[in-house]
Amino acid sequence: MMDFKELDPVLHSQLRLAIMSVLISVKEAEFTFLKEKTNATAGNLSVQINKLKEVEYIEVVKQFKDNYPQTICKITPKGVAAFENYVNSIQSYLNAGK
Amino acid sequence: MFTDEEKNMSGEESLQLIQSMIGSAREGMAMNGDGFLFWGWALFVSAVASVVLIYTDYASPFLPWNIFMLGCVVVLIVNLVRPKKRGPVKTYMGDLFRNFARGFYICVFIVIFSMNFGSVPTNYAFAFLLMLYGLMMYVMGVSMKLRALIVGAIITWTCCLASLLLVKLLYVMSLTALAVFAGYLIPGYVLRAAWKKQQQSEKVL
Repeated sequence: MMDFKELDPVLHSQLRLAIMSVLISVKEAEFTFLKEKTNATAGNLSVQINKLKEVEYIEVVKQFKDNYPQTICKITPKGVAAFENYVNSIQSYLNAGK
Repeated sequence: MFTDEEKNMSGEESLQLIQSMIGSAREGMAMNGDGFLFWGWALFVSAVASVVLIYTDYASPFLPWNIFMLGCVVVLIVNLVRPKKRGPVKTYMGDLFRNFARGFYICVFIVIFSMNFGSVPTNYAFAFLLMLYGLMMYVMGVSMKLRALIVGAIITWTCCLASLLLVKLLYVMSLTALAVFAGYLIPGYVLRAAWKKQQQSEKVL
């Protein structure tokens, strides 16, 4: 296995990377959509979303829809740049290993 | 699925995860073809009915189109009044389609307006409408990578050119029916079949 010390530690985690991969493909997504796509538990997903929000990789909007709370997540420009940087780093590691 | 979130991933595992998540995010976003089938049948029936009325020398051969326009007004009012349903996900493609559709309807309105106020003769106006239908089909077909819609667009533009050359209303209406069949109904049924297949595969999973 290669050394991934230079990789963004926030993104180099399965669930956080999965969340970012889903959010990079869409404009915005509800918590329920992310839960369904990642197949994670609500608690774990919530914790990882908060970590991504703290580093400003995603924006989280909490509102009410038909009297039910609704959480909407959206990737930020900083998140897009971090994601692109992460993918480029991995690709360069893989190419270097060939 | 993701219980051990700090598990170290290899480069291949990371890329596989990204690819599978992007693929998964795109699932369930396919169109069910209802819009194409609804408008397709409405336009097709109006065009065929007009052909029959023109052929039989009926006094008001555009009666089907007047009824169609009345239906359009009803649909517009229902859409404006009905509360908008928000899905669990919003895509860039969805936004692009919505904005493009707005522009398309404005163009269609301008052509219909010019036809009703005599600025453009009816047969030419119908040909211009075919040009706009073809544009809509082409943009959506290329965006969704749906060959049936791209072929439909090419057939519709060909019908538009043929209408401009043949001019006679009977031909223009026949070509409109053909264009709508190729560009709305066939892609509509292709989309519906793909959507049903996707729904079934999601149920299995």
